[in-house]
Amino acid sequence: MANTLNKIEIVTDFLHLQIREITDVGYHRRVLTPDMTLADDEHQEVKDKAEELWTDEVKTAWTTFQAEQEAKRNPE
Amino acid sequence: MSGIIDSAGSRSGIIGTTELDYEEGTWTPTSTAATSTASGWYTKIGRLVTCHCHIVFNDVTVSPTYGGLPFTSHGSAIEPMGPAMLSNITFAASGRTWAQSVVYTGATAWNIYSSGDANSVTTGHTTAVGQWSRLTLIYITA
Repeated sequence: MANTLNKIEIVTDFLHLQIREITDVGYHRRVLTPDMTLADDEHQEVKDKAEELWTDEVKTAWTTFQAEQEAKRNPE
Repeated sequence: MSGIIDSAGSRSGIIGTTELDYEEGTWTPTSTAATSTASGWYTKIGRLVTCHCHIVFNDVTVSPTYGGLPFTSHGSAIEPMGPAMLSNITFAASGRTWAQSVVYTGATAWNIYSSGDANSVTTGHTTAVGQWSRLTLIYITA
């Protein structure tokens, strides 16, 4: 990661990691969710937080939530 | 409400006495379609986020999905819509008369919806090289 890690925020029951980085022109934001595979060059602090928080239970709950939302969005 | 947004040159701060935080910055929209340009800007005041993005597609993808929002959206909110301007995107059904962006609940995903009549709202569309989308996405954070 070329940008400087500025903040990690943990949000929702599914423990999304909201990442704020500092670039040459200001802030850059991105969100990491439990279904993601983190990049090899991800900030180590972010990797550690994901490893700590994203248990199998959290990953399963997030997958279930997404499926439920998709079903509501596109009812049969 | 009035107030000063931090000091000159800063990009975040506190507005007035209610301590609504203000922040602006960039984000990178993602798509399962290949892109040659994918840039985004956001402004966040309190929990209200306004995002703008510009995507130029670089391949033909049927029913692409989108993501990359800078903040997770609220988990129990109605999925909010915003304006979308598209260049010659091919929709799955004919007679499309409008297209809008929709932010998905409790997620960082979003999509482009189109409609041609009262019973036919769809995300189905196909990209092509050089076609583009410019969208505004407005939502409440988690």
